[in-house]
Formats: sequence, structure tokens, C-alpha cells
Amino acid sequence: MASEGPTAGERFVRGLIPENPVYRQLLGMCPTLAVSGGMKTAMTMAGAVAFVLICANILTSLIRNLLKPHLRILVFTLTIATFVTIADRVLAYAMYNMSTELGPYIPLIIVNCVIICRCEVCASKQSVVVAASDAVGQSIGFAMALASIASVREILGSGTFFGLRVMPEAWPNWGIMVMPPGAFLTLGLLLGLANWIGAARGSQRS
Amino acid sequence: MPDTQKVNYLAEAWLVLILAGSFGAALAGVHLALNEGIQANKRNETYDQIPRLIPGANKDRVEVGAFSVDVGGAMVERTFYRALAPDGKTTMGYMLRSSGMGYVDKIEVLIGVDAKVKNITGIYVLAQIETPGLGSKIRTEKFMSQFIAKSTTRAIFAMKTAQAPESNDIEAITSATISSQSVCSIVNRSVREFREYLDASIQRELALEHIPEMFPGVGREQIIDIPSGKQVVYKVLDADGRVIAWVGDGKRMGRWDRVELLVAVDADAQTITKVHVVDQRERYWKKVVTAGYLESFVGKHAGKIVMVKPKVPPEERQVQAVTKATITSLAICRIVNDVVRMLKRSVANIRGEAVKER
Repeated sequence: MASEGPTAGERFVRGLIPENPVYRQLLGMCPTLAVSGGMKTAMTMAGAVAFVLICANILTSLIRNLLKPHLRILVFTLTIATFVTIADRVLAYAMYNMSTELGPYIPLIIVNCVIICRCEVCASKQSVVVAASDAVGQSIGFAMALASIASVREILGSGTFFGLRVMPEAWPNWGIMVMPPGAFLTLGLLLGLANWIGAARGSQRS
Repeated sequence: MPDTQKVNYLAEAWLVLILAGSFGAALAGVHLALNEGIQANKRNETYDQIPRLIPGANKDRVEVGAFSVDVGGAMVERTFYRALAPDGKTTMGYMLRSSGMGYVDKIEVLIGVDAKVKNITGIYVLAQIETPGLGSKIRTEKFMSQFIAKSTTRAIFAMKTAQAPESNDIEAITSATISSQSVCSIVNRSVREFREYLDASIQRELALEHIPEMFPGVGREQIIDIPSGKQVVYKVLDADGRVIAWVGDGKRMGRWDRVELLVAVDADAQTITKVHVVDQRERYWKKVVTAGYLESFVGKHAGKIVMVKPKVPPEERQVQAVTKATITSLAICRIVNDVVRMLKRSVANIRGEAVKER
């Protein structure tokens, strides 16, 4: 498998906005909706995903020449599951309260399509440097998406940001924003906004 | 060529096999390195709460105990922690560990109770994954502190409005009534189970505390407890040493939880003289009290009493159920019948066989 395709820089930049995993590829929706009720949980999830994505991409890229086409998904899953287990254990060791708060969502990173997609699209085809910068770009893009949704939900739903009060005491917390419907509403509106901006830019260029 | 195919599979899978082995070894290493710390985190989270939930207790002077309860036919083990005073013998209080279903998933709660299991000294929500920003507020200090000093002999309910300090209920979290009530139910159930476990001594203490309330002027020395089979009959004496009443205790499930009563009959065990509540967790108990339901048993013949519907006038051996508290009324009626039957049998035995008194 030759190392052809976009350069490391291009991969990195694409992950931020043009190929943002949430707003452009619509991948990784489960954690996006489930843990974006607060910034603390969202950023911890983004950190865990970044660790797994970077490690999985680097390892997959290192062994890309040994991969058999029909066994590649198995290898990806095996690799991802290992790094997710490590992330889960490290969280339980170093951030026990956060680990209990995130509950099953950390182990569920195993089935996060963002990671397996990057392994398939980039890491299994390109060099380690490109795969690593792709993973970093995608991780930052994922973190940005999670942060945008979580900040809207936490500020409107709880009146706080990272647990600190930012809205006046008189602010009536919008309960729905921290509940599942709030996650869908926020995601839908932000997704619409991202598409609208993208369309506006496209028409400007043309 | 099956043999060649087998070899090919192995040849193709060598990478997967090597990776699986390497990853397994790596995970074993991570487990070895971190497991002790993770277990310590879990342990500490529980033990760190002991001084908070049992005032004055030290987490280094704790005995861990367990008891089994019957949950739908299956025996489930419950853990409790007994905090000891510096002398190493006196109990300062207990911390119970329990869990139950919340709105989203299981909620784990630590409950502190005083040494006599009379009042709650604090609760701590150990684990929960309720709705962030709503149900998750059961872990806030504001919510958990509401349980402090609540009685263990009455149920705690999550009400939608702010509660007066003397109330045994708490204020539910807005938009998270189910999560709030789940914590209350876990606390109510756990305390009841633990009290039942400690029953033998506590039950007697409770009865001896309540009987002087039923008979003003009667001191503890005027109450003699006599074992009768699996139960205990209390003989109440007047100042001259004459028997004025026989008291027995009984309990049954009400509408919400167990109702426990003391029932007294006269010296001849012919007439019901008092019905006194020891423990109840019924939501509409006020209706029972307002309707004078317990008093309606007084003066009835000590035989089987039948409960009639709220609008039906009761006859000689009947009592009238309380509107909107029919199940509770029925439970009370059955308890009274149970106790009266037990008292009549026991009193007859005691008189006839001269049972040894403690």
C-alpha cells in the first residue's frame, strides 16, 4: 500500500473543518449526543478519543504494508479496542470521578466510526507522519465540534461553563438542553449553521 | 486441499495472532500497573465518606459487615460499615451501601445512620449516570444534605415543593422527580432492611420506648417482656404490680412500605385498648390519623375485626376504611387481627403454663 494522497499538512487542516468528523462526516454521533451535556465530560471524551485515534492511526500506519485486505477491519478493531481499554483504565486510575460519570461511553469508543474510518481512509494507506497529523487534525476537529455543542448545552441548560456559573442567578435553566432532545436540537442547529456557512463560502468563491 | 488451506489461514492470520498476543501482554501490563490504584480509588471513595456520613467517626476504625435480604426470592447481600469509637467497642453509627434503579440506570448510595438506627446522619450518591444537569443533581450537596436528621421510622418522600425542617420529606430536584424519588426509595428500603437485620435488639428497644407513650405514667420497670414463640408479649403493670394490659407488636406491608404497630388488650385479653404506630412509611398517613382510624379499634372486642368500605357504617366488630387510604387501612386492620390473635393465645399460655419471665 503506497503512501499516496494528501500531505500531512493537508490531512491536518482537513480534519479541523473541511472534513470535520461531526459537522462534515456525521461520524461519532453517539458520544457527541451522549456526553455533550457539560464541557468537562465532553472534553474528557475528546481527550480519550484523541488518544485512541492517534495511537490507532500510528500503529495501523506502521503495519500497513503487512495488512491483508480481508483482515484489515479485524486488525483495526483489535487495535482500537486495546487503546480504548488502556484509556479506560488510565481514566479510572487518574480521574476516577470522571470515569464513573462517563460510565459506558468510554468503552463505547471502540465502536466510534471516526476512528475506524481514519484507519481505513488514511492510516492504512499513508505514512506514519501523515497518519499522525491526520489523527491530530481529526481529534482537534472532533474536540471542537464537541466543545461547540457542549458549551451551548451547558450554558443554556445549566447556566455554567466548565461547572462555573456564567449566567446570572436569575437565568432559568433550559432543562431540555441537558436532556437528549437538547442534544439533537443543538446538533441540528449547529449542523445547519455549518452547512449554511459552507454554502455561503462556496457561492462567494464561484 | 484442506491441509494447504489450513496452512494458508495460519500464514494469513499471523499478524492478527501476533497483534493479539502483544496487545494482550500490553493490557496485562496496564492492569498490573494500575489495578491496585483503581481498587484503592474505589475503596477510598467509600471509606472517605465515613467521617462525613457518621459525625466524629474515623475511617480507620471501621468494621465491615454484610447481611442477606430476600429480593423476589433471590438472596442479595448488603454491605454495611460499623464505625467504632476510640475505645474500639462502642458503635458510633453505621454506613449502609445500597443501590436501586434511577431514571436512567442504577444509583449507588451510601447512607449514614446513628448508632440506634433512629436518624439518618447523611447520604452520599456514590455512582449514578442520571441525566446530566437534571437527575445528576442528586449528587449535589444541596440535595444530599436534605436527608440529614430525617427519621428512619418514617418514609422519606420527594415532594415538589420546599419542605419545612420538621417534615420527614425532602424537596425533589426540579425536572428530576423520578431520580429524586429513587434516592428516597433506596434510602427507605435500605434503612428498613438494616433495621430488620438488627431487629432482635432494636425491636425490643423500640417497643419499650413506645409502650410508655401508650400508657402515660408507666415506667420501663413496669413493662415485662415475655418471649412467646418467635414473638414477644409485653406485660404492662400498674404501680401496684397489677396487670393493666398486654401489648404485642405486628407488622405488614402497607401501600408503600411496611407498617408496624403495637396493639394493647386489657388484662383479660377481651378488649382492644390501644393501637399505637411504631413505624410507617405511608404517603397518605395523615388521612389515617385525621379519620381517627387507629382509635376506631379501641373498645372493640378482642376478636376478628372486619374492615368495611368508607361509606358503609361499621357494626360492632367492624371498622370503616379511610377514603383514599384503603390499602393502608386494610393493612392496619390485618395487623390488629394478627396481634390480637397472638396476644389471646399467648396470654392463655402464660396463665396456664407459668412461662418463665425475663
